[in-house]
Amino acid sequence: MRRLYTLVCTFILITTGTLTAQDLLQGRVSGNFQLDAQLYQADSAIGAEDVSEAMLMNSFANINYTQGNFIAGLRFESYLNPIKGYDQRYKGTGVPFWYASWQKESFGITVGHFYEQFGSGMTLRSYEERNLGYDNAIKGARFIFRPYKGIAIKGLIGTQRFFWESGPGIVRGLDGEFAINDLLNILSTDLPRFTLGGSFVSKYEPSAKILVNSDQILILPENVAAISTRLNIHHKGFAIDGEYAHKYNDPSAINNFIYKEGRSLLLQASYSQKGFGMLLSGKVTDNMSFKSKRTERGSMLDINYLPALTRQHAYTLAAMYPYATQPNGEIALQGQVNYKISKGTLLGGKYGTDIAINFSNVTSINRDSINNETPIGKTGTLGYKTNYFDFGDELYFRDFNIEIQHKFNNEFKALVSWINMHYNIDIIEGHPGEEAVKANIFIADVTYKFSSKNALKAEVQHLATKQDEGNWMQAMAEFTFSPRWFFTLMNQYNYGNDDKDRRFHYPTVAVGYTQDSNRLSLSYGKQREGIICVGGVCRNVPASNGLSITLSSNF
Amino acid sequence: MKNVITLLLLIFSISILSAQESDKNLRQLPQVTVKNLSGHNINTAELSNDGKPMIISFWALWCKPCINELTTIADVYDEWTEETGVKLVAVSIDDARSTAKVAPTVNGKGWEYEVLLDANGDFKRAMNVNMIPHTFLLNGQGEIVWQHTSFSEGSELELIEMVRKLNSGLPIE
Amino acid sequence: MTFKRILQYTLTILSSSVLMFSCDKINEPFTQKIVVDTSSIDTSNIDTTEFHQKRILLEDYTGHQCVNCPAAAIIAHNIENTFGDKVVVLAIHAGWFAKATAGGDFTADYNTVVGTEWDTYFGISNVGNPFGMVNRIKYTTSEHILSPEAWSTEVFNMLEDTVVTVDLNITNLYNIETRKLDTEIVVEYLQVPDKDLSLIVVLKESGIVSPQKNNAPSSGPTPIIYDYVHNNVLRDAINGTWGSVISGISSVGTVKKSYSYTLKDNFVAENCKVVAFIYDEDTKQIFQVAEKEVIIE
Repeated sequence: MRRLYTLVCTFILITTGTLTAQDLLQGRVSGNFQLDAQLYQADSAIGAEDVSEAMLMNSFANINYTQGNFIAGLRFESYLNPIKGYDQRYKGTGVPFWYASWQKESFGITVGHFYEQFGSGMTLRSYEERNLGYDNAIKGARFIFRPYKGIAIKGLIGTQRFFWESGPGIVRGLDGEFAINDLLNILSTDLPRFTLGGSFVSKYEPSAKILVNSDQILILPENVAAISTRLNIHHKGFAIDGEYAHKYNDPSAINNFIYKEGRSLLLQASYSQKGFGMLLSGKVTDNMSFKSKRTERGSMLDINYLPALTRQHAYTLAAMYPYATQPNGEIALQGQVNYKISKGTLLGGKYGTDIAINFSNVTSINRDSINNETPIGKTGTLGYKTNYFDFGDELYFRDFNIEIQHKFNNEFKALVSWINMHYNIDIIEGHPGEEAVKANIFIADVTYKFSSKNALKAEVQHLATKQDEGNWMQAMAEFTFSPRWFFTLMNQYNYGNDDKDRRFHYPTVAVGYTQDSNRLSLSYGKQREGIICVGGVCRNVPASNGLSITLSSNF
Repeated sequence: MKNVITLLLLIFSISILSAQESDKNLRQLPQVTVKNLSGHNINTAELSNDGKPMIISFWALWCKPCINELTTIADVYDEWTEETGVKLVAVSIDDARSTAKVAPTVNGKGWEYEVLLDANGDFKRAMNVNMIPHTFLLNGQGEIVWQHTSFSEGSELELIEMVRKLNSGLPIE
Repeated sequence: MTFKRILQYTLTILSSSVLMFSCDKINEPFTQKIVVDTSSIDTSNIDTTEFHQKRILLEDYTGHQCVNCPAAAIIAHNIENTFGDKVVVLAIHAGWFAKATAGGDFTADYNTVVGTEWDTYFGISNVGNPFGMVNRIKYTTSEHILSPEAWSTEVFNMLEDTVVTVDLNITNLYNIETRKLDTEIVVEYLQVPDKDLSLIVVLKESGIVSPQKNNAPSSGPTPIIYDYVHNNVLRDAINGTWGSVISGISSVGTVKKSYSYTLKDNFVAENCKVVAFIYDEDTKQIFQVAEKEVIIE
């Protein structure tokens, strides 16, 4: 660790040393800042508890210094104490992220912390999702080398962020991307464009003594590798993306310590032209959780990224049952069509009508036992056997949705949407035995401009289901006085709950003020309770009631 | 650890002082590699609009106000470019989950912006973007002269007003 | 440079680094036998006053509505079997998944004031269940919360250091009529401590039967195991959440601490044990633990 600090110091000294004082003065500082604070009030009905601190706060600030090809920066973070729903291990204040980097056209190096993604992220992706409390930044060193037009080679080594510490595993990666057309000097845009890529990622973690039963321990691999290869073809409106990843034996808490190899295949094809777009994609995931700590069960220390091949809904009730990839195995299919009915037609009106249809379907993979004596997934064995595209019987998630957006005239526009969803709550949230949620969601969103800068937006959402908590309704009205102010009134009402005593209202009022890139918003109201289960660990995000303040600024 | 931070803070304080001395020291676009919709790697420092103003707007498919903003501007984009020569670069921060959906959606909506894919948020971070939509306005020299976060109906008028001011050489803010 | 040379160059880099970052391919069998000496020490040859066995406290934070918890209890049980007397297990029911419901299957309430206070302090159920701690090590970092799969490695590691600096010996006297328990803990300092240490004494009970949620067929029926046996359940604190400080130790020797506690009506005395452990108040690290049945036959 100390060696790395010394390295960074030396690096900064050398790079800054070569700059004259004049150069230094010409550097530029930029950054951003965000503070989220919440004042809590108990509300025993919805289950919102009192917080002994009365107020909780998360905040962070990024500061970057740029001088020509040299960039250095840091992020200050403070959680005093973490807001409800955040991991308590973030408690405290510090500088968990800092880096220095030197970028040239053909060469770049970074030391300290950094984020990186190889291909679609199947073998490696380090990223942050600040508002969800997720950060797996790599601490170490990285280089990017572009020796020739069309070739990019990246290499990195480091450990991953684990709250205020680093995880125990060392991640090493190498990625190459080759733009064939550039390499062969084909400039014509009439020919398809090919890009080939490949990655190699390996993690090292010292062995451990993990008991299988009272007198047997596992023999563990200390180095685990994953390789992937990818191809992208673009031709006019067509695009085809494919990536295949293979992971060697990686017994871990997530896969119940089986020694089977992991694999994943992603294929996406799209075609679009002005006014029309379509996409077809498919993805097979089999034992692909890849973490730099084998006993980690939560959402931290992921080396790779396994995105769900489903639509990410923006409206609250549509997002009530979100899907998350099952890293141990799933087959996902998705299709989407976007169409714009042209302006000046009967259905298009003066401004045209946007239609989007999306469908996704995720099922289990079919698993066979390795032999008659061994149950599927038994710790300390190969686990199971499976074939490619062998769809399992269990439906994890299905979503069919249509969205129609139309602008009637300068004052009035509307959006309507219908979503039909099947959500396997047993698998996704870990509620064994509970019936899958089958929901129909309807959304209407209208905006009326009563002057060029002032508008009223009204939103009605309805979720109908016989399972889980039954029917929900949400109504919202938002007044905007651009570019500075907004006022929102909202209520969520669980009117269809089977338990008559739990038919609660969750009202919220909010106000916000924006000036350029500074924004302050206040909201007062109730938040419903939720349970998140990731990798065999369940965490309750408690209901809350109170005032929340968000302040964000950029400089 | 402490040494590094002290050192960095020292550099920062020097440059903050220098920034105060000269207001002219405007920030330019950082050097980050992103992809465009035809699969080319684009160095963001090389984005330009031939000496005319340029708008850079960060958005994502899951962000309602972003889609609203870009749809609203799309209706008047022809008029804007004709009048001011401005170009809008829409940077999608959608990750691998939905990058493939960006092109069909953009084309399906008939947007004519230059669209870039910032799948791992590298450009977003280099521009210090917290929340989206976040819009930057650059002058003809590629300097960031103004920025704005969030969208509400009518705030596109403020944006084009800024572009007009830039074109006629009036000071911004 | 020609294209061919570039390609050769990059392929060489790629292939050589593939060799460099090796990957360990494990072949069957994937497990190996281990032998942990759990036999009682043969006291005929050595002076018993000289021998002190190091013992480890394994805390399993759990809840009857936590579907992954039965699997963790099996891991804890395997560790008990492997290490015998060298490990003391304590199951702490606290947090959201330990809540008792007014009606239905989960009316049993195993929450305790002490358990909830520890859980809040160490932030365990906030992270999720099941999780636990081994001797409460690494508390000052965020790495003190260990997933069940990590417990055995930690126990092995901690037992490698066999040096005992302070030992505990419990003597219980229980009155069946009045349900009053008198427990005496002899704290034996084998080295002079460089700071004051604290002693916590609690009561645990095994063999309590009540429903438990479960999602792993290998741990029992799903979704609910109706006749689940809850073992090592933390029942109550005998000397408070953080125990009592033992101050003024300036030489090796013993200190005796005595506490009285009246067992609640629903506790089955035959299944109860007193657990005592001594720890550093700043780091929370535990140095030694001991347990003893309330009723000794």
